[in-house]
Amino acid sequence: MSRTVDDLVESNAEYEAGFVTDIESETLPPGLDESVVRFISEKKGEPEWLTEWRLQAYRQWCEMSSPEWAHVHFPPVDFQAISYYSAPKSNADGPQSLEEVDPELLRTYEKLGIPLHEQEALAGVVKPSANVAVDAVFDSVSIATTFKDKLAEAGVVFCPISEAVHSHPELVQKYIGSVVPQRDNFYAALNSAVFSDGSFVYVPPGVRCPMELSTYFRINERNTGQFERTLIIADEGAQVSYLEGCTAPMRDENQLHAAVVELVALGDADIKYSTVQNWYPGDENGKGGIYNFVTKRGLCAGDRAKISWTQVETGSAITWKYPSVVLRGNDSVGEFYSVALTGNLQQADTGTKMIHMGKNSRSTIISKGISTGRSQNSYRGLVRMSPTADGARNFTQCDSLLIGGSCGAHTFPYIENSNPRAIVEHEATTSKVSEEQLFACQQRGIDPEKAVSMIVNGFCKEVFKELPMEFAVEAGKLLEVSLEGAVG
Amino acid sequence: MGDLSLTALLPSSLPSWLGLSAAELPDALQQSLDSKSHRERWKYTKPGLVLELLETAGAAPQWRNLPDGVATAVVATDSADVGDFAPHVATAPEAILNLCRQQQLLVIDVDQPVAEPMVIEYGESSLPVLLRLSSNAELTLVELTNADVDVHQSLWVELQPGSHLNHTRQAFGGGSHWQHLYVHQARDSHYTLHNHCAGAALRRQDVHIVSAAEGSDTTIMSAAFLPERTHLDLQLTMEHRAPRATSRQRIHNIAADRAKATCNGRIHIHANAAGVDAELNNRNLTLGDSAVINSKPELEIYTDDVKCAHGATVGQLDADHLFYCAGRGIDALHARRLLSQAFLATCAQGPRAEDSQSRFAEYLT
Amino acid sequence: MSLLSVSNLRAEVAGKAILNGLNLEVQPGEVHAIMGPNGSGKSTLANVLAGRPGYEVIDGDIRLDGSDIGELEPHERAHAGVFLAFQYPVEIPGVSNMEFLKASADSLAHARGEDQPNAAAFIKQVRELAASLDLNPEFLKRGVNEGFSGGEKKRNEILQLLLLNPRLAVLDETDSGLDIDALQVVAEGVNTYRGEENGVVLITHYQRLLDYIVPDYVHVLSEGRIVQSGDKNLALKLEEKGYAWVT
Repeated sequence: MSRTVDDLVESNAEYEAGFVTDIESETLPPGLDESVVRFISEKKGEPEWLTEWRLQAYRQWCEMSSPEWAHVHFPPVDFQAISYYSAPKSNADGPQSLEEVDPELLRTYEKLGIPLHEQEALAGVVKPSANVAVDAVFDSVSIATTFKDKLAEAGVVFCPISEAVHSHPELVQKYIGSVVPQRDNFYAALNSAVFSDGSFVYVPPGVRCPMELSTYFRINERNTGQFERTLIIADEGAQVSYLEGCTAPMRDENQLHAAVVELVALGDADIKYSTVQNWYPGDENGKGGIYNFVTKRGLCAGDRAKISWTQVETGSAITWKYPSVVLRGNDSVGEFYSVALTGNLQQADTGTKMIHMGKNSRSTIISKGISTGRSQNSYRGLVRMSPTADGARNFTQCDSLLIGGSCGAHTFPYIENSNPRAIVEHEATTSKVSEEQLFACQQRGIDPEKAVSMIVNGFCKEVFKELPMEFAVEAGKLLEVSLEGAVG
Repeated sequence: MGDLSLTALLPSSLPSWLGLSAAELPDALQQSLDSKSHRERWKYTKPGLVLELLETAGAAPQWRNLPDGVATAVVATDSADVGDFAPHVATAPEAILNLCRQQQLLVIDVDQPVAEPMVIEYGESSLPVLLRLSSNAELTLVELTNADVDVHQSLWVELQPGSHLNHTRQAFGGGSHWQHLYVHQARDSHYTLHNHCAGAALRRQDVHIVSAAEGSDTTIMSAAFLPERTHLDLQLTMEHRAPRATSRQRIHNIAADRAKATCNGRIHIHANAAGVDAELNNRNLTLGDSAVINSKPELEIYTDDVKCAHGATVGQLDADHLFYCAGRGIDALHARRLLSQAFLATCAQGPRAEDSQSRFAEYLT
Repeated sequence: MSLLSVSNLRAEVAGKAILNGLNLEVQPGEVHAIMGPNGSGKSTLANVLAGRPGYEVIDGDIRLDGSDIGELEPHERAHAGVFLAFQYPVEIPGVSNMEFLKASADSLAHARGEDQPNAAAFIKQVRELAASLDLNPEFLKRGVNEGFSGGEKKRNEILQLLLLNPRLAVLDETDSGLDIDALQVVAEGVNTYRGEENGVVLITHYQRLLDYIVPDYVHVLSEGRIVQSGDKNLALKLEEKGYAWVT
């Protein structure tokens, strides 16, 4: 059994103090070569196989070029201008109090009803205590204890992947890169070479994880988001629901995010992965904002395995993200539910891939794109029926809502069918908020801004109902805030 | 394909409307052939095969009849007046290459409503054809490519305001076949395409319709049956550049045996094209154990005031329909044939519909 | 003071003159039926009163309780007390009926400077109203008018009328497409609403509805003007002789 949150809470002060003592030497200058990869691995005290694995990824990355097929435009990223290892932020570069935080961000927190101390944590305000994030989330130690006890009782492993490398090396070695190989794509290769940290979850056979697991509960989150690596394994018949992100915009200074998430569902296992992504989207002139280039993929390795992705994407200047499922097991199930809202000059190119190999495997794709301002919002999807996928079925519904005449909504679905007994159905529609709907709401006294937000929420309902309850409510609020000013 | 071979294929004098000199063209072509969008259009068919096919010199096509009100002339490509609808090298490099190489094209002018259908038969590779309908002119055009030979043919259509073109393409010939079609529609013009074909060793159809002015109306109905190891790659682009226009596209394909059917149907609505109503529907039936279907219905939309939808399905005959037939005493084999024929007949309409439907029926027996 | 006072109203739709100097006075407690042939401007009047975009007032006044509402936004007119029962109620997918009703009731309460209605009491009230209108309570969970039959949509309009209890109800051909049972339920709803404090403008093409909702006045509209006014007997006469008789 690995260490859980409580252990980390206790050990954290020491850990951080250790860093602070020699912070100068802990932050690498910009640039990437083999010695940087070795340095990162060494700093984390990783076993040799992992160092080699990183180096292999690095060498492959050197031979790859960044993908250009997505419907997004941005100046090339200078990968040699990024620092690939930096110690946790010192007090020098974080805001010292909420007064130093962008008032626009604070206004949003207020609208979302985020308590003050939590606002501080989200905005990255530097506090003398290292336990800020934990306090903000837990409110009291007792919850943390209950949380720890419950998981331990069930035998669920939930810890940073850097911990798991030491506590569960056999699991990490077996599964890391098994779903997203090092050279899968340019950003996955980069992540494999330099990944910072992320979550590791293992749910033993037949265990139903007693609670929703959330990055909320992890304290090592700060400043590790840039090259996050998450690995979730649900053993035979296990069940887990994982929540990523939080519904208030995170202050983050890293421009480039290239995360990798791998899910492995063995026979009869069930993984539900929900994300709310609202990194800084840049201002109304498109200045600033995060580039979010994420590779997320799940493998239904055994029969009757199920993987379900639900995402609500409102942040980032550029989103490049295709949470996918490889349906290898017979009767396995893949799902993708997505809401992507873009405003100002945001660009989102997001969707999914459902690769059917198992007999009678089934997949469902529900994608709702909302474009406002001068943003561009694309759905890109692939449904592939392999020759072995007898009786497999896919249903895809892909709807776009446009608000305003200067935005764009695009749909690029690829259907590749090599099985005469498989069935694929794809539908897409594009519409705007109709004047009749708006008038009907107004006639009942509802002001236009509230009306649009209601109509958009209704448009997204099929996706929101897939989210855990409290997440769904917050996602609705988030949408409301993101839509502000979208109506002329 | 390198710069050298491109240059070798090209003539020294180019039509002035291309806006490119002989020195610039190879680079422009190469750039277009290497572009992201070109790779997308050729994702499921090797472009090299078509470029090879294009090396054959084309002959002026034969028409069965020349109705009153229709004038034809073979002219040098560089003297042809293509007006403001000149095609662009970036969107159709193969077609531009062909125009330049052939050096001549057949111009067909129609300046009035013509009742009698005009029928053109392609027995070999053809010179590019430029068809112009003046304001309020009307024509029914039937193109037949039913011989088992390798053929390349391209048709450029300019529809002036208020004109009507009812167009049928029937292609049941084997061999390698490349067909290019570009239609430029002015205000309130109407264009209908009936596309009936069988798979071939190589059958590539590039269709690009531009709604350039308000009130135009476009209908595409396409039906294809692909037996054995045949191939069909249909690339449709419906580009709406103007407001308040309508387009409807319906494509039904059946792939049997080891055949491969690809359909890429793209609807592109520009920022100023408010009030456009566009729809595309691609349905595919797989009958063979190793048949492959690729379908990619795309939407690219840059304005909010549109009604736009597409759908694509890949599957088998409806079990309920089969059961209904069984309930009326029709045996399974017969029911399948009946339902498959009906599936194609829905989209095999217009002139030659009967002939095409009976050809489909033959494949299905 | 009149509840509703419309004077010399001229309005256009897409540049075409539809209302050509219409006058109408409604006192509290009165029901006015507006009848007329197709194209006479009946529905335009309803939409102009509610401020529907695309319906342009060229001249004239619309006053509610003495204040000019002609320049107000549609939701501001709703706040002032104008309720339009739609001829073709629109579907709003995904927005549940209950959610919609609550949003509406909340905004009207807010406009009156009152507290939002208590959620539990509100839900109870809505359920009771639904039952009285023969609407399955399940419909409250469904999207606004989503998948409703024509009759259900109209009954939903009446439910909203009773729930929101506006100052002025404008019913735009609420009887169209209803069978006789639904018509009676709708009429009963309107009669329940009817009172000394409010007024009704009832737009209809057929006399049939007036058997169930007895009007105080009947006006005949032709070419955007009221050409004849009378009591309920005028409607019967119209039924007998057809619109050609007055126009």
